[in-house]
Amino acid sequence: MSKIINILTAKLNYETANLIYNEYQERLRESNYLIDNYDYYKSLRERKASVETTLALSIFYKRLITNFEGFLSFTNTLHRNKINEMNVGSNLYQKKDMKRLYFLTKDFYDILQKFNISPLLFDYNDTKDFLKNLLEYRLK
Amino acid sequence: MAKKKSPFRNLSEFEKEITDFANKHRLEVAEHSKRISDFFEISCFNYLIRYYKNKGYTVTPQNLISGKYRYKCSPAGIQKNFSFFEIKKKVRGIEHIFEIHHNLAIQSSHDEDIYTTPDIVIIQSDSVKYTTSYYNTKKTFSFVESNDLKTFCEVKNFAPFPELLFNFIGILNELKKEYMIKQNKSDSPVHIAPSLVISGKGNKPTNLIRERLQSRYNINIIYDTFFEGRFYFTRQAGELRKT
Repeated sequence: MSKIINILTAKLNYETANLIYNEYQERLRESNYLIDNYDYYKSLRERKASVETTLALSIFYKRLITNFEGFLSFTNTLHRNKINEMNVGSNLYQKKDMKRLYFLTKDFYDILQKFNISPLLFDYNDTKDFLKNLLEYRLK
Repeated sequence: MAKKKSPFRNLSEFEKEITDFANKHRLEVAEHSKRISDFFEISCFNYLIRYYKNKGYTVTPQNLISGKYRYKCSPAGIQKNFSFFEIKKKVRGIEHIFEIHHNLAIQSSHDEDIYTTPDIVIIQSDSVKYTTSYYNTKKTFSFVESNDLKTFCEVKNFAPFPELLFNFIGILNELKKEYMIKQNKSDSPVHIAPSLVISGKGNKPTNLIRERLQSRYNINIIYDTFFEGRFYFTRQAGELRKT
């Protein structure tokens, strides 16, 4: 299977795809270095492919899904005030667009749920914290 | 008992699920990803609305354009062509009305003829002014006088870094110079203190800078907006500093 990062960033606009891809490459290098050189992370040595895929998903989540959810939350505030349409720049968001965005985020969370992943696994700044989160996750 | 599924035990199934998800939603993700920075700003705008709601204000969207909420994404444009939220609260029998706007220019608190545009501002109701003498052309400029600014928020979709934090103090100095010398300005009713909201998590140096700046000035610096940070606008709202 081709790398998950390529699948997740395919067809994204250049700027966003680049942002996600570069962050992924940088963190992957760092993650491989930490796993190869520190005993603390040695249990992940045989599982680098899983680390790689989960890392790609975490960056996709942090860069896109969180912002989609934040936007949906605002549209809910508008719905409570009986407003079903919104203009952001030249884009018009109607009820059907918001519904589609809702199902997109729901499908994402369904994957997390199926694999028993809490979004807190993706709450990290330094790559070493991501690896620590992964180690904790494996123990559960 | 069957073992729980995980990316470690069931990698191919995990990758298949992600691939199916990507294929199913490819077009929408591609379309929405063009507006990520606007979505981030809108998320923070919504946090602020929730904050004021939790503080007992009534919040109402205003100035709908043909029944639609029209969000102003950049400093360009005439303010009356965009929507905003009105917030109201009765304190000791007096009703106070303010407005939450996005991307509206504010007059400097040092000089009357210069302006800057914070991402989100809370202003006195009905205080937006217009002039055609600001630019070289007759283009209309929308702004608010310094005295009508109650508070403001800057939102950044990055990981925090020192220069970003110190730049915020420059904006604070320009817009609310009194905050540079006075710790707690009393106001009625209270507002959230000028705030910098950042999506990324802090590290040791940026956490220390945050601590120092917050002890020096009456401001909030909130990190990790989509995880811990969001609770500051809801159940931990009491921990935020106010004007």
